[in-house]
Amino acid sequence: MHQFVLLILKNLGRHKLRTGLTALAVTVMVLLCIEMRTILGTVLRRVEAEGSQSRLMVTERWEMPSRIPVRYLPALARLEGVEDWTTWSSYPCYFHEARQVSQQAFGVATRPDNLVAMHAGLDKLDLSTIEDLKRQKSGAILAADVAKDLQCRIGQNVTLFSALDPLKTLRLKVVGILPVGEYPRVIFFRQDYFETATGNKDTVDIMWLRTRDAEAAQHVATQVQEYFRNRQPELKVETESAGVARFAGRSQSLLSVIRLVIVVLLIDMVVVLSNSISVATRERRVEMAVLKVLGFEPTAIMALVVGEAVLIGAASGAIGTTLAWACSSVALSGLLPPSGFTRLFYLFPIPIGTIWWGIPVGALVGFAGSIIPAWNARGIKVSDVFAKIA
Amino acid sequence: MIPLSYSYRNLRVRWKTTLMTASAFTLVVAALVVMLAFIRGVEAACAASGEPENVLLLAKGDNDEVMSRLDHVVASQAENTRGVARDAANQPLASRELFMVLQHQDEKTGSYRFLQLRGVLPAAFRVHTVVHVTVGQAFRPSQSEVMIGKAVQRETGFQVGDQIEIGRKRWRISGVFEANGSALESEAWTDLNELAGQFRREGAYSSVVLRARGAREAEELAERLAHSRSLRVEAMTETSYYQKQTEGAGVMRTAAWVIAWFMGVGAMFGVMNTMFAAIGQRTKDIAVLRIMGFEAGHILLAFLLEATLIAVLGGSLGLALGYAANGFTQSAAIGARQIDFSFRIDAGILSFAGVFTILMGVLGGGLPALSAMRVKPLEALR
Amino acid sequence: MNPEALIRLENVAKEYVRGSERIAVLLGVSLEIAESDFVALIGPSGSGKTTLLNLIAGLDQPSSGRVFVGGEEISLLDEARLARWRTNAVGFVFQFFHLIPVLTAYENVELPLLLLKMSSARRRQQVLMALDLVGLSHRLNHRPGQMSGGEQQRVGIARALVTDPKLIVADEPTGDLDSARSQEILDLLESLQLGLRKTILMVTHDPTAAARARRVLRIEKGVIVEDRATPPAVGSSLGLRKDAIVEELPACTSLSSSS
Repeated sequence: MHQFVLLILKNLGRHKLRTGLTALAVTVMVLLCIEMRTILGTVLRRVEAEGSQSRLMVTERWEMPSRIPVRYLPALARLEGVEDWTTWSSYPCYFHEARQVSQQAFGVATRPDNLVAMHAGLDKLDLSTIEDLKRQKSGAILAADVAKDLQCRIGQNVTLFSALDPLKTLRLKVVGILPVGEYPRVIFFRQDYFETATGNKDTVDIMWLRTRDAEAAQHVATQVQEYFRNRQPELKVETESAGVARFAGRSQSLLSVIRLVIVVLLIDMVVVLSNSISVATRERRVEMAVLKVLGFEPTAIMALVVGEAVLIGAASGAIGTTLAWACSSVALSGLLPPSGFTRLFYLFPIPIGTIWWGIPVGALVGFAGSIIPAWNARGIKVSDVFAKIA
Repeated sequence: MIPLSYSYRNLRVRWKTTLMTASAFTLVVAALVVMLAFIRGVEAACAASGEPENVLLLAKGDNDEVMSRLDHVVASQAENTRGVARDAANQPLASRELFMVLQHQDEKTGSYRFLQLRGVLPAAFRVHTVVHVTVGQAFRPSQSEVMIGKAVQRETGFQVGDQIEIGRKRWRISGVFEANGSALESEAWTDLNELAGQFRREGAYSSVVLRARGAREAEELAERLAHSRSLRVEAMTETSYYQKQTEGAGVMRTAAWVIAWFMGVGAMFGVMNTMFAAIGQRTKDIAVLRIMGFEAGHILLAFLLEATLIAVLGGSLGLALGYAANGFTQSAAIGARQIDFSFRIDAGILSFAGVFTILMGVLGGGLPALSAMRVKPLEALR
Repeated sequence: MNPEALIRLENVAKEYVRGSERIAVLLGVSLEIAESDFVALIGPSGSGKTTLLNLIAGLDQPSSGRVFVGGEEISLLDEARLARWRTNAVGFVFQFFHLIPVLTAYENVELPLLLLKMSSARRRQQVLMALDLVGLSHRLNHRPGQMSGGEQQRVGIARALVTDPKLIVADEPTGDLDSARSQEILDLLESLQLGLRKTILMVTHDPTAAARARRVLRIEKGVIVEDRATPPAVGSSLGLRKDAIVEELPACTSLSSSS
């Protein structure tokens, strides 16, 4: 077995240029593939987030944006099966007076005490941050990418300019930063501060209810329909999962394009590998015929070819994913100034676990690419040993 | 000077390899065309939207109809501004509108979908001149009737006569309208007063659209209103409003090209490999040609041509494949609204993709062609 | 100095540098070859015969000494000018034929003409004449893969003739052919010399091939050790197309006056 692998490696090393080129091509494509996959995954992750079937999103039935009267809240909170609740009031804003597209953020006023419990993905947030938020009325927790763009740290002040009403400016003090990749572009602050600063005491946008499980969630949903059937304004209830999916659905065409690109990349990789291995195999026709004469079975010859392809594929895949992760780490490390590059990875960070995907995916691509040349190699006739040198 | 048939026939003889190498180009070019068509389609949909003679007014500080609130006083004042065209009865051509985005629940599946609903008065038809009812009739005021745009029908499948629930009442679809491919086709229109009453928005409008005599007059009117001290509103021509929505297109296009080049790397390396192998097998050919008197430059060109031919073969197939997406209609979220757009492939995209293909072929074939050039005739024949 | 000498070498030497070693392949060779002569160059492998051939044919430059062909000092020319010179001045025949496999016989023979300014009608004329001379007019549109070794070599000779060069250089032309085919090729070469007044320089290790030449140069270890004239072999047939050559003599003079 040892010698088998050694033979494969030697064969690959014989034509370093070709092996190198092939590996390079696959690496680059894997890099892009991983990036696209991460983007797709990040978007889809929200829909399948933990607890998203047992958390309910309550909104006004008809209008967008939704406005729920504050007077409804106590009744909703007291419904049977509701374990915990919080609200969102949205505040689309810019964090700079210039109001550039790259300076947009999404402010969310909410309850400070159960912030972590009610929002998926915040379990890595420091408990002390929550304590600071509870102490500081004008406290704010920034998303990692916003903090990067603002280049601000905990303890600094930040001013937010409303995208809708120029009179409603907020002055906040940063008490924490969200984990990278969670709630990009979002700035959390306290509901009571928001009410005071904007004078909006009558409505909230969304109410979130947490129940024990999907079944309990169904029960609560039914109660909401019953209770608010004849009230104006009406309410509607969806699971968090459904609600997020509905919003994600608006970018359906874009997501489809990303999927298309991923597929093209994978097929491209297979084609490149297939081409490369075919060329190599054709050049070594006589050698393989000799092996057959010596007694190697056709399957062994096939295995040689497949082995070569799988090895290049796996190696390139590993390098590609490692490179992708390295870029992501550099972007998130704070060494670089804010730019399109850093923003990309703040929105779609590549976790270290991705590296492990490189080898199996690369190997699979290599395998797929080796099918045709391996089958051809199998059919090499022993008489080819006497091939004339043209 | 080395005949084209030399390059072409060598590709023919190794047709399997040629096809395989070319197929990488096919994929890349097809994907590029689809991406560019997507962006072009979105841009075209926005460009088709907005009549240059119309001026859109929103509440000060708002750049979106959904959040804007104008009242009766502001509307009257705006309508009577100098520059607003008037009809035969000397009434201002002005449309007071209430634009709402509602969550409509599909009765069969129970899932919610966005419905863009615009409450208008009869004047709207004189201001938005592109709107034409093609099936059924326009809605009648106070009759709980709604007319839907062509794109809405495509997405929902509603037919004339269907009933839908909006805010407690059942409304009847009275007709389907077209609007020259503009964003208006993604909306449903109904009686302003009935809508306002249903959602307790009496006396409040989201926007007022004024019509001027021509495009130039519209721009002047917009300027005047934007800087007016007595009337605090945001004013812009309809066309510039929609143009702003496509600001993101430039970024998307850059992203598309970056992605295309990354994908192209694979194809380039593929052709590089193939050519290196081909040259490795044909060093004797090259030596003989050099001995006969063909110069290094001729050899270079012949192999560069071969590589480019592969690229063009694959690329043409890719263009044809990508073209299949032309006209395919999808809806996309542009700004705050959902607009229907069609994938649009025009001569510009085809030429860009073509140049890209040739460039990839040349880049991929460059190194191998250079190495072919350096084959020493004497050594190769030894 | 022989005024009829087509080729003249003055003290030509050639050495190769391999790493730190200097290997002398030719040591101060001086010789003259008359026009329309049929010369065989024989010697063991490594003797320098191929190197000598390459120097005369303008494929390589000597390390020292001067090479004159047709009155021109080709040892002074740079690579680009040598290439252009070769097209018109020298025709090559190889042991392994070296035809372009994807081109037909016609197209293979046409190749050198593409380097000259010529109308396509003229080109066609030349190609057809050359192929007719070697007796392959019926194989115009066949590819090398569809021809026997002997036929391929004849196409090679046609290609060597098509630009009407004064000198034909052949490197082991019969090396890859059986004896019957070899005789045919040698007959053809002989008829080119006699009928078209071509100068033929042939490298060979086959003594029967050497016997067909008019002059035999033996080279060993970079030096010419023997130089003898040989009378024409008894009973040699002057090519398959002897009649054609005699008949086409006027037409052939137009071939030679076209360059």
